[in-house]
Amino acid sequence: MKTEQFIITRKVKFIFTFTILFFGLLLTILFTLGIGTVHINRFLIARIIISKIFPVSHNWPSYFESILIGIRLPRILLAGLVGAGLSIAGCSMQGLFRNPMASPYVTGIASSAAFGASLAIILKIDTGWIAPLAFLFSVSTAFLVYFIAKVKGKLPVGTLLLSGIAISLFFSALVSFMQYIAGEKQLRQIVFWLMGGLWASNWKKVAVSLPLILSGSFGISFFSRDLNILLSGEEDALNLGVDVENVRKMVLVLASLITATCVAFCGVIGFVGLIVPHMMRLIVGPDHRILLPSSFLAGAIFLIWTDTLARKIIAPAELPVGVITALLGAPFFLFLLRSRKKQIGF
Amino acid sequence: METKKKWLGMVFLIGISFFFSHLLSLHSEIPEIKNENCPPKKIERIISASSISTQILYDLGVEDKIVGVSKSSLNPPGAEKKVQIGRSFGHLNIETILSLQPDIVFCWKGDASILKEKGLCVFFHKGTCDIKKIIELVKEVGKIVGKEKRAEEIAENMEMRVKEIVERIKNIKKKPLVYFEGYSIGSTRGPGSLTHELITLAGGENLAKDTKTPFPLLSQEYIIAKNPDIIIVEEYGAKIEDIKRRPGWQNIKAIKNNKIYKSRIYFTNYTPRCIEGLEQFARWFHPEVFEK
Repeated sequence: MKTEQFIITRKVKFIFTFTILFFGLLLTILFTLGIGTVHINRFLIARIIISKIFPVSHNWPSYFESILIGIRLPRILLAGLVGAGLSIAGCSMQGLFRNPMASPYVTGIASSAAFGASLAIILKIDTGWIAPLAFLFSVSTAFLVYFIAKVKGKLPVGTLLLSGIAISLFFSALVSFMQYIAGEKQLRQIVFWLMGGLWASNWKKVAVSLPLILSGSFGISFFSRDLNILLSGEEDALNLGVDVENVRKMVLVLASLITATCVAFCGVIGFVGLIVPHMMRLIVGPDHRILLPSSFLAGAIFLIWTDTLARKIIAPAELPVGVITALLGAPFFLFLLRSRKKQIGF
Repeated sequence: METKKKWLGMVFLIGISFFFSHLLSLHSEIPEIKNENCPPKKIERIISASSISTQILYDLGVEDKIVGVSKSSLNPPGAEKKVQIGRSFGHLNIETILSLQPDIVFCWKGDASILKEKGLCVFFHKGTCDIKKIIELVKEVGKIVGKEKRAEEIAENMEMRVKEIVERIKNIKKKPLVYFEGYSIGSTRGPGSLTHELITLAGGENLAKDTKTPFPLLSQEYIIAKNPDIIIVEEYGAKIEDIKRRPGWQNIKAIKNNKIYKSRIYFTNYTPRCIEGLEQFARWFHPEVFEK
């Protein structure tokens, strides 16, 4: 009887959280479409979007359409995808290593993806290969860090994070070195891309990253039960029949896939993968069946808003989005941590 | 067995997603702008997204047609009053640019592709330059905006002034060793940069002439050991008094003889005004010839 009640409340919570976040995301997209240096009336925006689906008479200047459909929409969608991807990757890694500090950046996955991408730029490989190369490097780094940190079948988290940080710094240095040896054209490309941000978003980037980030997140969500059991400790998980070693490896591969895609298209945007999962953990609790998807949606909302601020705050110029994610995220995060610090879930 | 299946499933999932991503990328190729209208025959609205193009467009006398400039366009005076469209090198505000409905956008090469993507007609120039390329650039821009004659005049004037300098220092044997300092200690200009060309043409010997890159970074030791006769500092670089006070620099000939000069931004920028820089450099290097 008690378990039944528990299951019902869990389902209600699940549906409730999702409806709120889903509509939050929809509203965010619709609302941020109307924000930019050029003012476009909201009704007009609706009509322009409708005109893309049904034929409606055009009586607006054509550049409105290129601003909305050509600039704002792909940028918002890419921000959403990247924010969602980084959050779910960070969330799964925190659960995986039972450590609140774990994120794609700390474990060296992101900077090795950055190295892979800049290698693709230096070698003048077609842009379609940037993501696969970034993935190749990030996944091999994930395994490298994993095997370095593993001592006698166990995975001490301190060693893992330290080796991750060392490898991360190593790859950052390699990226700097590549900038030094790059030719003028490649150097400019690398700098542009390292600056990150969503400034150069276009439909192609959305199209390429969409399947990769979605399938990676889909894959990770299969492991939410295992991640829940892992939270209670490695040995308990083994006793409960979880194949800890393989679960860790598979989740690492999927998290690397997502991170590499994000890094390949937007450069390194920090802080999202660390902060959003924690916020959601404080709000919905540590159950990964709710936590993973809600981090995914909340990450999208978070990055769309921060990017909108980045392009609006000192218009016509733009701030790097990382500045805003840190400036906004850190105080809010500290506030949550302070007010509910006993419930962090580790 | 179970594990094996899971791994296979995952590899399959990743493979499929890369396949779809590739497929989608092929279908979302960015349509190249139709070039029959680019450059347009009649240009009424120009956006200048680089300081260099702003200067050149002003020189050509089409400043009335400029509807927007980048933030770095401070020269010539008056340009900063135009509508601002953000900063070049990755910080242009494309929304504003589109809303100004320009017939053509002049920009750096690095900014060109994203503007083209959005269907704008773009003319770009490169990040490294020499006097010959500046002359070509002026002619090209002149052709686009329909001011060929004015461009020809500017080009002739530039060539004439260079020739005059070269004539006058032809017989001078002793060339001063010159150290040009950019924005920080040791950042200088090597072969391949416009500044190197200007120093050499003005009858000086560039301290960084043996470096391989156009924008090298030298160690202080190297500079002190080379003992330059003249130091030129970028307009927004270090203050002259601070350079004099640097430890270990007191014995450099340039500082002993008080031959430290402040450059101007337009002296070494890729515009026709670099000839003013050339002339000033020549006066600094060989006052005995030029200030008689």
